[in-house]
Amino acid sequence: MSVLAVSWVWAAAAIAVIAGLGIYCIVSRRNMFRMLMGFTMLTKAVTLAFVFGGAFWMNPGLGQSLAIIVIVIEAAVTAVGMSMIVNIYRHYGAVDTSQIRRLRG
Amino acid sequence: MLGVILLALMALAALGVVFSRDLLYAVISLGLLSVFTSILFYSLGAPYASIMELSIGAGLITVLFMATISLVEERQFKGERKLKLTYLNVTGLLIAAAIALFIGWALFKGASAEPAVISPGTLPEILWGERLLDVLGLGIVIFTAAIGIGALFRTEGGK
Repeated sequence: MSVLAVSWVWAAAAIAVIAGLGIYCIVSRRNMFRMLMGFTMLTKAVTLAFVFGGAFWMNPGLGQSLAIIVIVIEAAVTAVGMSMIVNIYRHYGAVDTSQIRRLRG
Repeated sequence: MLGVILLALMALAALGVVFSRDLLYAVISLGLLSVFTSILFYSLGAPYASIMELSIGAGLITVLFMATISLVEERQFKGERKLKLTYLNVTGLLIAAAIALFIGWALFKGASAEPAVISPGTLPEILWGERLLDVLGLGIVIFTAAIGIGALFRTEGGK
């Protein structure tokens, strides 16, 4: 499969752990920076799955091209998310979602 | 063996992102996660994705996080120093564990499935041939993100 000969089980476990931690970060942390980091981790897990899939099925070009697309979109979303956090901080004076009371329905 | 060690280091870095008390340590852990990911990509025969991950994931995003955190006062992060066993945390942990188990199971099952019939090609062939529409869409995403950032930082009357 590869030079490193990582079995698919280990790869699947690592991808699941990173994705799970990313989802946990998004769901349960209240700091918006942490939430954005959780999103970044989630996209890293997706990228890893693409590249592992490409290597596993002997089509690294396809996995790489999809991974590159995901990485660039991740950077764009992170940049927009950062600017939104800075704006929210300027507006409300807080980056903790529990303190931004005007957003509550 | 080296691959398993890299995967374990990645999992450790991911744990550091979620559970480290200082936000700057979390950002550094995120950068380390990107570095380990890019090493793994290179060894899996994906050098272009490795370079992209290293330059964007470990470089650009880490710098962006650090710059943005420096814009925010430190007292904003005092409240989240200790991770408490609250209803939100426990529920989030259960949801995340369930989703992680599902992802792991799906990936494990997917490995035994027959792969889709896609002829292997080099990266330029795929990126500029089969995935040309995606690349054009990527350009639109970057353009939209630039406009979005400009709109968010827009000041009224040049203030």
